[in-house]
Amino acid sequence: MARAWKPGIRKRLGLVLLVLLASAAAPAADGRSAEAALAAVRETLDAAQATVEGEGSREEKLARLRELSRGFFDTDAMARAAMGEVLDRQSKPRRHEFLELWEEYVVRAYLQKLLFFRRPRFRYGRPIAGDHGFLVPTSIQTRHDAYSVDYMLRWRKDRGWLATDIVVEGMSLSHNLGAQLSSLLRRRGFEELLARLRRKVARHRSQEGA
Amino acid sequence: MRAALAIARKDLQLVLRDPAALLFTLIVPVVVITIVAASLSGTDAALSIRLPVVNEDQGPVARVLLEALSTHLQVEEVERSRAIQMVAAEKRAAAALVLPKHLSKRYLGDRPSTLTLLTDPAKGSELETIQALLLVAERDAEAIADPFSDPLLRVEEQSLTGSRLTTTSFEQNIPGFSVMFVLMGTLFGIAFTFDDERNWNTGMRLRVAPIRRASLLGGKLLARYGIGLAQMVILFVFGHLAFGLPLGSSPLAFGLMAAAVVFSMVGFGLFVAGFARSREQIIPLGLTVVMIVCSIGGCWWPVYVEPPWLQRAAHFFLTAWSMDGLLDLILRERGLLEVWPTLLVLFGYGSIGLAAGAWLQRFEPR
Repeated sequence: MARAWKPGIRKRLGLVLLVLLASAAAPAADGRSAEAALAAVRETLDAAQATVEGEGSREEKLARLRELSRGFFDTDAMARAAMGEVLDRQSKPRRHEFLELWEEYVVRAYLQKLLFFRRPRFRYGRPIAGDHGFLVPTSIQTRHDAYSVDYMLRWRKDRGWLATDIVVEGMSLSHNLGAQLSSLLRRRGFEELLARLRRKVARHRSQEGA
Repeated sequence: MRAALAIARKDLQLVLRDPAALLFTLIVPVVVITIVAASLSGTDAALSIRLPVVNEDQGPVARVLLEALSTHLQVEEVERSRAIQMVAAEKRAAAALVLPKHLSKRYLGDRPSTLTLLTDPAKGSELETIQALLLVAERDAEAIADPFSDPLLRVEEQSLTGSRLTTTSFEQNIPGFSVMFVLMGTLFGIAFTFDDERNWNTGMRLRVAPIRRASLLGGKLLARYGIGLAQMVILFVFGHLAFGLPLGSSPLAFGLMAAAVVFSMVGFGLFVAGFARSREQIIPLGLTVVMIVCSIGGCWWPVYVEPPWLQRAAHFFLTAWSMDGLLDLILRERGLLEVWPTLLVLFGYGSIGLAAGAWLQRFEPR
């Protein structure tokens, strides 16, 4: 009797294993889906909205928003896209300093645009598949108008969906900054670029302090 | 020493015999100091500056700009036609700011926009304050602008009241001091003339002469009017030749304005002179009146730098109307068709002053 059951049990065990494997693999597949990309943007913007409208001082809100943005942006990828090989040619400490300043600068630039809106109401469009990920179209609704802010998302194994570019009203942040940086690099070199970035970030910090 | 003390005592008794003169001597500095202090301090000058804003954008960037400007200026959101009226017709604002459509969209998309400042260059210092504060507001809003690119907001100025975008200090000071000196000369001239008649008893003789009282009064005032008008024209021509002061686009309008200004001064001078009963009273009374009406009325500094309540009070005096009229011609390049209401006010002011002054004036010897 036991023998008679053996092939059936094996078959069923195999089926269960397959189901288990499939279900284990399913989150990974879902995590890279368009819905997951949209969810990543929505989650970040919802948290940003809650922060803006929630309790806390201006400094606390800014710190929280900065943390949120840092977790959402792949600023290293943005910097590499903007700077190309020039960045790789720099010494490790200088490259490190540039990436730190760049991150702070990009995050502040994005947040300050977002903070123009006192009570932002976000609308989400259907993600559009691209070569390296998804473009998630969103808009900020105001009483008189809507402002488009699209997020270019790329999947990173270790960190999930990250924004590698933000397109505000048709203007790509990475592209715009990259073009300006390239021009400055050509004219003045990396050292001057780094110095200006230092000054700009310092000015941002002092304005924030004031 | 004893003799000196006796003379001093006698002189003091003479002064104390005319308490009105003494009172004027004491109150002149107090009144003038109070008015100067009220005019030039006590309020945040910039905060009393009105800035009409035409917000065609209605977006978040416009809101942030307006919030930044509101901390320094009295910002009022109005329609374009109303803004133009406030600057050009009513002269209630030195400038109006136009925030163009899609400003926020362009700004957020890192594309530059041009804001238009519709100006009245005749309000020079107020306009300069607005320009400076606009720069601050732009910087506040442009904190996000990166160090590598061009500014995203540019301001273009358009004068609504003339062909020039700026004015010089001469263009405020020469008309102001001319009005003051002509007023001083006219007022003291009229007051001393009648005081002389009283002292010399010639008034009594003239009254018994076969001439009408109106002719007598009219003749004296006509002489003063002629002197005042000549003084006014000479001062402006000197300003024109020495400092390049423009005299407006219409010589007829300028001539009529000068005539109206001096006419109002003669009426005012006769009225004020009616209150002085002695030579000792004329000087402090005349100085007090001239200093007050000239300071408040915009001869020493523009009326628009004063607190709003004082600006309203200023238009009880002929000096504010005189300065309005002269600056309309000189700085705003207006013609007769635009300044006739001011001419009417000045002629009316002069007529009322003459009527009241004639009633107050006495020819009897003391």
